[in-house]
Amino acid sequence: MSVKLPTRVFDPSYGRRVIERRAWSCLQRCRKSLGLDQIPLPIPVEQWIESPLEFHFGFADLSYLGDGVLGATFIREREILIHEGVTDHEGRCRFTCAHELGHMLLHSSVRTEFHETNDLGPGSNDVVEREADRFAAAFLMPLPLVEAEIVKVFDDCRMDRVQCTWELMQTTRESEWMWRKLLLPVLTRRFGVSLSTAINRCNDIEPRIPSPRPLLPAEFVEALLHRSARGDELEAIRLRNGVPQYADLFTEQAS
Amino acid sequence: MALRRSQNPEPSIGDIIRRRRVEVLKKGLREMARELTIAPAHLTDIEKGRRTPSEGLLKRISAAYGIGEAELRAAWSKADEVVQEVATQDTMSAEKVPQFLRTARKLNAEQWDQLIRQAEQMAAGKTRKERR
Repeated sequence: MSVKLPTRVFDPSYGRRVIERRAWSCLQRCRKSLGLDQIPLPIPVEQWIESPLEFHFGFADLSYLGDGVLGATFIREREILIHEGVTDHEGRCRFTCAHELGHMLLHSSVRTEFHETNDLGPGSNDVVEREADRFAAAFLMPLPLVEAEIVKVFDDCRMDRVQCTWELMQTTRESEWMWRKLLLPVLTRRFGVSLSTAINRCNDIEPRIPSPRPLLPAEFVEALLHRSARGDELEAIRLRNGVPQYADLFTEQAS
Repeated sequence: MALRRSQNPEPSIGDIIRRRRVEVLKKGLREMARELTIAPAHLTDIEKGRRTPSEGLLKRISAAYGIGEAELRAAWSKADEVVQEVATQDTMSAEKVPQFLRTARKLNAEQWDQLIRQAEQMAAGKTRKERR
């Protein structure tokens, strides 16, 4: 497949690039088919499954398929069903839709039926389910658009793009402040995803520049889901010359 | 990735409302279900022909989708409430209304309009008589 991701700053981590391109290719075909200039955010995954992708779609009680089943894909019937219990959880529901779409587009030769359960996720051992998860993340949070949003956050706050991108990769309180207070709230809102989906997605991204570190420090992946251990320290972070700094440093630098 | 179009020559009412929702109104199942104040699974069942809507929901679907109530009633074989009400208001009506409807089964639109005008005149005449 000759699809290129129009990114300038970030790349998907190695090993995820094929799925990344499949998701991007699907998004572009939907956009063109609907005559849109841009991909709208949040990506209307439920509508696009029905049109233009033309799969049968619906919500139903899927408890007959087993405990904890959130979604199901029936390849021959070209049908995706989502469990009625997840309809009120916006992020979970959208992710399940995109996950099932991943099965439909990637795995038609693997099995004829797929069920997603609560047990699965980024840590799943099932390769097929992991691929569907990666497709869902790439479909809901396409890398070129994530990159554009991050750059926009920096620009809107008049932050230094290069210094702040570098800072993001560190495990400092300034980096944690940027992730917690600036980026993750914007990314979850703009892309219509849960906090854990946004964190996992950022964990899949690498800076294009040669770097010994991933964009999201490994120490933050789990920690960002919970309250910060740094507590009030984050409240004392302020922007100075376009770069976040701990307030105590102001006086130090001034003197 | 194939973008397929189904070729069903006579779509069901479920297909018709689904297509209208997706292609004209451009709304997702959850969004439309919220507007109709029903569960998304309920709307799924209606679109797939597994359930028919209640009287109130049929009216809400008519308004939200911009499809005439009569078209929906015909498709779901659901008579207007007034038919049930008139047909069961007393013993005479319970006997005569079905008899009348069986007789009028094959009337065309113009004949129905004539019949309605006659019924209106008869009803008006009865009212005048009652007033005297």
